[in-house]
Amino acid sequence: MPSLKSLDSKKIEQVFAKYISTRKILIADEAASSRTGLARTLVDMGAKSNLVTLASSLAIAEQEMARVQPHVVLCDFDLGRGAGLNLLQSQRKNRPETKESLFILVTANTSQSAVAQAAEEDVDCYIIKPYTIEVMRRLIMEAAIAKLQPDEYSRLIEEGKNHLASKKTEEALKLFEKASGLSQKPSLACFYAGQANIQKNALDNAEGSYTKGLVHNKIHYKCMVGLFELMMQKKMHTEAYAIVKRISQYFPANPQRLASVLRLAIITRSYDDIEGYYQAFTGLDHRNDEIVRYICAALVVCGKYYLSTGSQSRALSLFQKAAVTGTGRTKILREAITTLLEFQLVQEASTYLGRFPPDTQSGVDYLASEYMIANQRSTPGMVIEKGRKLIKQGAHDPTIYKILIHRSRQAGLAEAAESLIRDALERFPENGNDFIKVPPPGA
Amino acid sequence: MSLINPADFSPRKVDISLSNPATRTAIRHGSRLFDGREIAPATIDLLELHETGFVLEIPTKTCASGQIISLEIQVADPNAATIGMKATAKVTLCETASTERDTVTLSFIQYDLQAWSGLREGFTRRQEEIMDFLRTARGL
Repeated sequence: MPSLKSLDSKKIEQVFAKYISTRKILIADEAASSRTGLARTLVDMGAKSNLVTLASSLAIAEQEMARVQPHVVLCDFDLGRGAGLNLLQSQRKNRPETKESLFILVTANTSQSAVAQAAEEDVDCYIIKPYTIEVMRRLIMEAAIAKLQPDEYSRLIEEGKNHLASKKTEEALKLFEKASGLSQKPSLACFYAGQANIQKNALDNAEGSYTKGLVHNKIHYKCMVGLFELMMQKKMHTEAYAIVKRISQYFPANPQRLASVLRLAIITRSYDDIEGYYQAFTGLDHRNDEIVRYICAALVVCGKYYLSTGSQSRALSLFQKAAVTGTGRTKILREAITTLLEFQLVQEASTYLGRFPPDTQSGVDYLASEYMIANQRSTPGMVIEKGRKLIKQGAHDPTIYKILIHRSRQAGLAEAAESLIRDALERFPENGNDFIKVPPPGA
Repeated sequence: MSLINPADFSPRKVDISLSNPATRTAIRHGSRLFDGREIAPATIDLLELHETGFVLEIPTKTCASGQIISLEIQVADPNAATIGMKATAKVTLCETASTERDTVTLSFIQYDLQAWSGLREGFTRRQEEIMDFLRTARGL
C-alpha cells in the first residue's frame, strides 16, 4: 500500500473522505461554538452529519460513548476539569482494534503537562485552539491516513504486536527486528522487542532492547516506562529512580508516577529531591487522594531525615507543608507530632494539635497525639490518670497503651502494668514486644 | 539540577478585550461592561484564526453583523515575550451558539500586520512543537 508520503494532497483528501463518510463521530466540548465549528469542518471533509454526535459535558460524552461507540472522537482536554482523556479509555474499551479508531484532542490547553499526558496516552493528534481550518484539516487527515495506510515499519510492528498477543514470541521478535531495519530511529520496534523479551523472561535482553530504543530517542516514552518497570521488577531501585526522574522531566504531570517517584526517593534516600516533587505536586491540576497521601508521607519522612541531620528549620518547613497539604488527614498530623517528639521538640509538636479539625478530636489519632504530648509535659501521676481515662473511654490505641504501661512500671505499679500488657497484647498482638520492652515515643 | 520547569505547566494566556460603541458594551478581563459599568462576568474564547480576522465565542447580545468593534489582544506565553495588538474589525457573521453565547466572525479593518503575523506564527509554532513532541515521544 502506498504510504502517506507518496500520496498527493488531493489523493489524501479522497482517501480521508471515503474513510470518514462511514465513521461515527463524537465531538465533546463545553463550548457550543467549538462543537458546531468542528462538526462543520468534518462534514466539509466528508463526514455524514447524521453520524456526528455532539456532547457538551463529560457526563453526556460518557453516555454517548457507550451508546454510539464512535470510531472518531474529538475532545477538549479540559472537558470536565481535565478529564477529556478519560474518554480515550472508554473508546479503547469499546473499540480495542485501534486501527478502527481515532482520538483527537482539540483544546486551548497548550501546557507541556497536558501535552505530555496526551503523549503518554498515545492520542492520535493534539490540535490547539485557536486553529486555522487548513491546519486542522491537515492534522486530522494525517492522523487518519497514518492508520489507514501505515508505512511498512508501522505495519510490521502491528503484525508483531498481534503475534505478541497470541504469545508467538519468536515470530514477534523477528518482525520487530525486521522493522528496526526500516527506520533510522526504531525506538518503537525496540520497545516491542523489549516486550517480547519480557514475555520470554529474557530480562537482560529486554533491558538491552529498551536501552537501545532510548539511544535512538532519549524521550521515547514507552521505552522509558518499559525500562523503569523492568528495573522495579529486578528491585534495582537506584536505577529505577534515575529513570523515573528522567520520565518526570519530560512528562511531568502524571499523578500516579509522582507516587512512584516519591516511593523511590524515600527508598533511595534521595531526600533532597522531595521538595522539588512537592513543587511539581502543587502544579498539578488534579490531585487524587492517593497522591495527597503519598506527598504528605514523603514530606514527613523527609522532615524526619532533616531532623536527624540537624536541619531543624528545613524539617519544620516540611512538616508545615505536610500539615497544610494534608488538611484534615489525622494520620499525617499524628506522624508529624510523633516525629517531633522523638526529637524532643515538644512545643513544636503541640502546635500541630490545633490543626486537627474539630470533628476528629474524639478520634484515636488526636487522643493519642494529645496523650504523647501530655506524657512530655505532665507529671507521671497525671499521665497515668489520663491514660486510664482514655482506655476507659474506649480509646484503644497501641501508643496510649505503651505510654501508660511505661509510666505504670516507672511508678512501681507492676500489677496494673501487667494487666495493661495483657489487654494490649490481646488487642494488638502484632505489636508484641513493643508493650514489654521499648519506651514509647518521646519517653 | 532543576527537574521541573514550573513554566511548563502554564498554558499560553490569551486575553481579548472588545468594545462595541453601537451597543455601548465592552468585555474586558472577564467582565461585561455597559456604559463603562461592570454588570456581569463574561468570557471571550478565541476559536479560529483567519488571515485577516478570527472567530470568537462571546456572550450573547454583545454585537451584530455589520457592526464595527474595537479590540485589544494580548497573548502571554510563559516561555516567550508577550504579544499585544489593538485593532478595529467588522462583524461579518454573528450566529447563536447557545442561549448565552454567540459565535462571531470578525474581519480586520485596521490592525498591526506584523503583530498579527507574530501572533499567528506563535500559535503555529506551538502546534508544531506539540506534534513534534507527540511523534517523538510515541516513536513515530
